[in-house]
Amino acid sequence: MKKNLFRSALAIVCLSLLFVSCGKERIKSVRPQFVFKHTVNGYELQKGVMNYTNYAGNLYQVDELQYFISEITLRTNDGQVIPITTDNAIHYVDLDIPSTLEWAPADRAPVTGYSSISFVFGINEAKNKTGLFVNPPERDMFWPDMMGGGYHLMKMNGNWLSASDTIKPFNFHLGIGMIDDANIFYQNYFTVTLPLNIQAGTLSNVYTINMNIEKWFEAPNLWDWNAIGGQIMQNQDAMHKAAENGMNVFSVKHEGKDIVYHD
Amino acid sequence: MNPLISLLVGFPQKFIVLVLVATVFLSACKPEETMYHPTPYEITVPKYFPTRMNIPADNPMTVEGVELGRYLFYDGRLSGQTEPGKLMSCGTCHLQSRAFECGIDHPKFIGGRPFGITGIVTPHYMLPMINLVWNETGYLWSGLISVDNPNKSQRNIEDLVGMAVTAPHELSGDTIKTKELIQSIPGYPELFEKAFGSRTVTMRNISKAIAQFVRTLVSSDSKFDRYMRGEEQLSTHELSGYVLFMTEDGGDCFHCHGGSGNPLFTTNLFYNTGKDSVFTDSRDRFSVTGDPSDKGAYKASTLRNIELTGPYMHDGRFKTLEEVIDFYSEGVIWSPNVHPLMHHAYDGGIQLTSTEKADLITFIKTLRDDTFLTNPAYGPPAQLPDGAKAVENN
Repeated sequence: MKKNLFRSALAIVCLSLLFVSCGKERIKSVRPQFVFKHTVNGYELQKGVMNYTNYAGNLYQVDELQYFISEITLRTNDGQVIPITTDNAIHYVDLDIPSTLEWAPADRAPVTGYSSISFVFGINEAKNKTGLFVNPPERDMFWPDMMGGGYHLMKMNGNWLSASDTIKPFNFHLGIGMIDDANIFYQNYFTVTLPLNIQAGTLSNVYTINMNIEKWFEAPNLWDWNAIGGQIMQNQDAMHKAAENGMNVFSVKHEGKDIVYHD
Repeated sequence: MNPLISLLVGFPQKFIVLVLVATVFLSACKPEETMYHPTPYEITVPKYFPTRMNIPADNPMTVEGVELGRYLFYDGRLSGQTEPGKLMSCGTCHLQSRAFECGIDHPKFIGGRPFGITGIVTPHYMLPMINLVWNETGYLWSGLISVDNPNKSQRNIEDLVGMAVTAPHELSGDTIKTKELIQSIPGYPELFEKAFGSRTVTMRNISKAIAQFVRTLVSSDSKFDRYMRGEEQLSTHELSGYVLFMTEDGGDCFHCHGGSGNPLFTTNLFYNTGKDSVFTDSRDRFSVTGDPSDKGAYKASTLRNIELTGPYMHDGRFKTLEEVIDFYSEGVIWSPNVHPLMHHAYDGGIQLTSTEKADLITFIKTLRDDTFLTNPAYGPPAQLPDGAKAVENN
């Protein structure tokens, strides 16, 4: 009798443990994940096809696109800033390297409500120094030392149809600028802040960052390659205008996904 | 009761004896102590160079592997033949003094166009063997030999060695003959055992050894390297050329050929630089990717030691550096396939003055690395394992 009682008690304990372990866990934090998309007028960018027209009326195509994203932070609905690249990670995005189009920084973020996300487009002044990257593909973004050094923040290469009906290449490159060969350098990185509407209790850990390419050429500075020219590395005024336009280039969508990493 | 169980339960003494006998028996069956104790070979990464290297996991660098590879690189019997005139090794065409190309002044390969043991010319002109351990994007002008190649036999330098042995335009050999001949040469079986743990020569291990040797060929001591390290100053003309090299409004060479931020002096990527407007070569980058925008595109070769590696381009169309610079200045042909980094293609090139051209060439010559060109570790050994003469330029 005693033996049976003991067996029953043991079974109950085991079953309880089983149910407890199968119960839904309360997820406290997640690793945010990023997906990088690139569109023109709402449609996915088609590389190498000259079928886009910018706001100045230039027909153009994009062949290559490479850039850096860094210093991502999330702002909670109560105003707390949550950094999620505390390891100083700088992410390289390259249209030709599919693995760069997704990124999960090492940091975790609490599962709570968020009102905005911010990131640096490019690399800040303190970090953008020659030697930061020695391995490709990031290394191949290096910017000449005599022009300030460090790395291109972005390379967008393509062609446009000029006013004389000649197809001309453009190299829409952003990096450290200088004026009149003076030893004064201008940083052209900028911070982008995008609104979120994530309510507390909502699991939303996947952020799709979309670069609306046509916006690089829209406002506040209308971009006409016929006036500006195709190459801007040694044209700080043009790079400054490009950076101003860049503030309007990005949008974000967010969604929750099955969590792999949880407490 | 099972007799075995009775042994265990009833006769512990018997069991102990059984275990001891079995242990002695099994020990006696162990293979003899092997001589295979390879010493890891560490490639010293020069300042500013990439830390990531293209070394396959199944062919780690060892001192013994590199030593064996150097012998094989310079052994004309790699062709599988022993008759005079039929000896051919890697060193026959890849001369250290010419940055491991044959050079435009080669006495046999007239104009720098090599041909194989049967006289068939190579499809393309040569590329130098410099810092190949840092090439991650594919070998050959097209990048065909790449870790991304779905064909497992076309992925790395090891595979190139095997291809060279059998290609009609190179050694035109037979891998079985080659491995049997190498096996028969006194000294080699011992070297293979030290490098790979077996005296049996295989084509794969021949390839692995030569690949290891090729990965040791590091150039990092040109005048420009010393300038970057603060050990030497560039002249006024060299500095002017350097500025032209590094600026978009100048020659804009750096986007494809590297510079201070990329001391390999190549991105190892592929570009159509506007040499032609019609593309019929079946070995261009398009032949690998199938992407129409890659038609007429080829690997940007390293500019290290470039003054010694003429003729230039995949088809050797330019004999001198001056001709190359003239092409980029005034001879570029625009086509929809020209890479957009060739931003002056629509008006024929970058339009340099004669002074600018001279300065640019003066700078490019600072990339000559005599330490690399004369390093005894890269050259032919004094003699081969059996005392035979090594082959270079033979």
